Amino acid sequence: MAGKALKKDQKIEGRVLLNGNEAIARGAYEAGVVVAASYPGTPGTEILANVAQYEEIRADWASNEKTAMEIGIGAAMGGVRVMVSMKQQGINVALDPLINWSHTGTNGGFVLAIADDPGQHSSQTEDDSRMIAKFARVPCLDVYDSQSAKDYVGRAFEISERFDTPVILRTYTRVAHAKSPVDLYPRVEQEAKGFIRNPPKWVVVPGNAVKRETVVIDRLNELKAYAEETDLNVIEWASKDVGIVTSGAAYQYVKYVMPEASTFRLGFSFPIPAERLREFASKVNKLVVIEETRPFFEEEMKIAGITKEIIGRSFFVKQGELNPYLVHQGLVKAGIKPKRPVSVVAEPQPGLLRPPLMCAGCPHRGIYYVIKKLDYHSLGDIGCYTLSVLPPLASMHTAICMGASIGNAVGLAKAGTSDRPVIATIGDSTFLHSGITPLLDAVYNQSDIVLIIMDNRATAMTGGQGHAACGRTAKGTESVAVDFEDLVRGLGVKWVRKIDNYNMKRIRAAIEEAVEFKGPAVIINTRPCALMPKKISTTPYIVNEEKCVGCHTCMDVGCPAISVTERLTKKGKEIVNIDQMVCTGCSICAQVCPSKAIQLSE
Amino acid sequence: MPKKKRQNGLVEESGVNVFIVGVGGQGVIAASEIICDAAMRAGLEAKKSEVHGMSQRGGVVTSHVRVGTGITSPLILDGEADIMLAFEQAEALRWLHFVKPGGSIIVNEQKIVPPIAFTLGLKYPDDSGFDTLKERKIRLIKLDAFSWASKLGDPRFVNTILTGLLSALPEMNIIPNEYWIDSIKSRFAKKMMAENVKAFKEGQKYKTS
Repeated sequence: MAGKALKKDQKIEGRVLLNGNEAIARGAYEAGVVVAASYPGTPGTEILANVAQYEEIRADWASNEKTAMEIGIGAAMGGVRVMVSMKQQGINVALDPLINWSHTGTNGGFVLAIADDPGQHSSQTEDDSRMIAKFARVPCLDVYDSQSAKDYVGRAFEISERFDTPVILRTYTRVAHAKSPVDLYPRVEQEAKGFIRNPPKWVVVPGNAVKRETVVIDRLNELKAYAEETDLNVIEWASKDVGIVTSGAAYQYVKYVMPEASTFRLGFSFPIPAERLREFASKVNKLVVIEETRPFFEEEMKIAGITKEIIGRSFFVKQGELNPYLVHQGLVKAGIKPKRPVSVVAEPQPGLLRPPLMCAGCPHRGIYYVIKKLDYHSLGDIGCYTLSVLPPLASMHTAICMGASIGNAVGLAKAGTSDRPVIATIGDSTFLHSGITPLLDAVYNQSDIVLIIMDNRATAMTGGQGHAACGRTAKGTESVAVDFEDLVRGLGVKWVRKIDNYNMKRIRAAIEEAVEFKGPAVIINTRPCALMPKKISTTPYIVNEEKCVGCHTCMDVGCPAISVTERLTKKGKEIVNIDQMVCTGCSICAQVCPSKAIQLSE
Repeated sequence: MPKKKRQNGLVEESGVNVFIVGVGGQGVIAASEIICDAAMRAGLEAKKSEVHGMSQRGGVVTSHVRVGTGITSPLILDGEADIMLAFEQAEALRWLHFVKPGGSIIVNEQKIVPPIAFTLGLKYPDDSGFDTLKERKIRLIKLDAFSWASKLGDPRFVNTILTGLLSALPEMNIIPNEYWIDSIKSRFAKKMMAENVKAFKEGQKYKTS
């Protein structure tokens, strides 16, 4: 979505269609945010990508979510409004500064936008930011469409400044990547308060921190009282037979499926308004709670002593995201009959498997083809290259979290149980995110591992965002590019090679030499991403049908440009075809073809 | 479209649901943008939702589009899509359960076989899945938009042709034609604009019965 942000003098009258991420970015702009930081992660990437389009906001990609948080904290100490954004898994990385920042409190308003991913469309786990809010004892706001996403940014800043606390703004895939109309307003500049030295507040030595603990406990009580009075929590009365407590996208599904039910929408989702909920529960015949992704309201209501029976999460889904159909089915299961009928005319078909693929020309393909042939233990990481776990490459054996490949490889080597060399592969952005410190462990402990830094000069999986080694900022201006070879040698690695990763002979030779080296050895790829920031397209390859023997070795590289045709060789084997529109000319398939049937098209 | 108010002051939901499916890179999201833009120009509300994390990498792409008044959910309830626009045949079959009785399905006959089908020995589904639609009063419009677009000069017109065809269905008459054309025009620079408007109008002329 980068590049589509609205300028301040544009379309202030009337309504425009924005997705949730664009709306949050617009909200930050209107609320007078001065500094924004983030690390890319689906579905929240486009918040910063759009914030960066506003020249009034200093917006940058950080190395990881923890540094984004710390940069944001520093800016808020300076007395300006700050927005930090990340995907849900990112907050696990940033938890240390978040918890302490909750304790110290802020100066300028501080909003932390977290994008949850119910259904795990592009996430390792299905978590719930409300639980982070509870753990950190900070307030949480749940947005439910683009308008609320934009409006709640401003509301979150007011709460942050009034209660001296960071505020979590919780968004979701179905808000982040859904478009709905939004009213736009001009930016309101906020008076910068400036940095005020206050060590008792901001130096977390135990003597200070103990006193701050009291402040946090008192603040939580004040927030509980605020939850009872805020207009972010809205009851819409209709039939009192069914009352539904809900938030986020689920609220929209409820309104669609059963508009005749009364609803209690919790825009302020932590702490819950226990007394208003108790009253709501007492006024309805059946009490339903519909929420994503954990039964958070349900449990909080029980903790608050609301004893009325709750038709909750277990009626709707065990895991995964809600949708209108599941909401309807769950209500029916609970003996509630929405007036809206469901008239499905066909059974859902499982359909053709269509897993995401490495793109044609992807520079990662050759590396994993060689690793597969060598059959070494392959410890992977988070990025496009994680797709190498799928057939036909099927050459990644572990991938735990951002940066884990290197530490995991060190550990596996230490265990002494591996019967073959251990290779770690990690992307450039992921290495900078959290691969540097485990590589120090490998150096310090002199582990016999081979690390391949899959440098394609982009955070490709999330859309090609920049990072410290690609020479451009979030705003598109030029910057210093960290040199991976210098960096790795600086950490103390003694064996480093740069390779052309379109050349599989060189890949293989480099890996075999690295394996012989005592201590950590690092290979750095040199080919950029085939798509971002520039689409790479050289002379495509073509299949010489006279020479093709139909062995299908080329199908083992898993390229979307190559397919099997119905044309047959003389021996009755299917000939392959290369889509000339899709082929980028990377040559990997030509290198594996045993009959030299894949040739340059001109 | 007159707005009906419910008891609690909320506008009663009314409008058209379009479910668009295809494979990454085919133009599913662009088509959904055009529909929403045309609807907004016509003074209607619009909502749409898609998951596009994997869309560039040959994965399944779906987009829910809802236009009208008082629109709540960004997702369509199963069995409530007035129109399904499928850019790829197997994808049409995968999502048939979204189409409502009496609704319409536009299917581009293009077949995109994923490489994994070869690796795992999977067969491309035959189109017998469409057989039951007639008795369920669903109108099936199947066409080879890829060849048509190529004949018009560029395979990339597939998206514009199919959107044109969709705009001419009676279900879509809540959006006057001028707004469709304005929306197409706003998406392209000069030369491509004229060609896309032409492709759009070609699509609108398609005989659907």
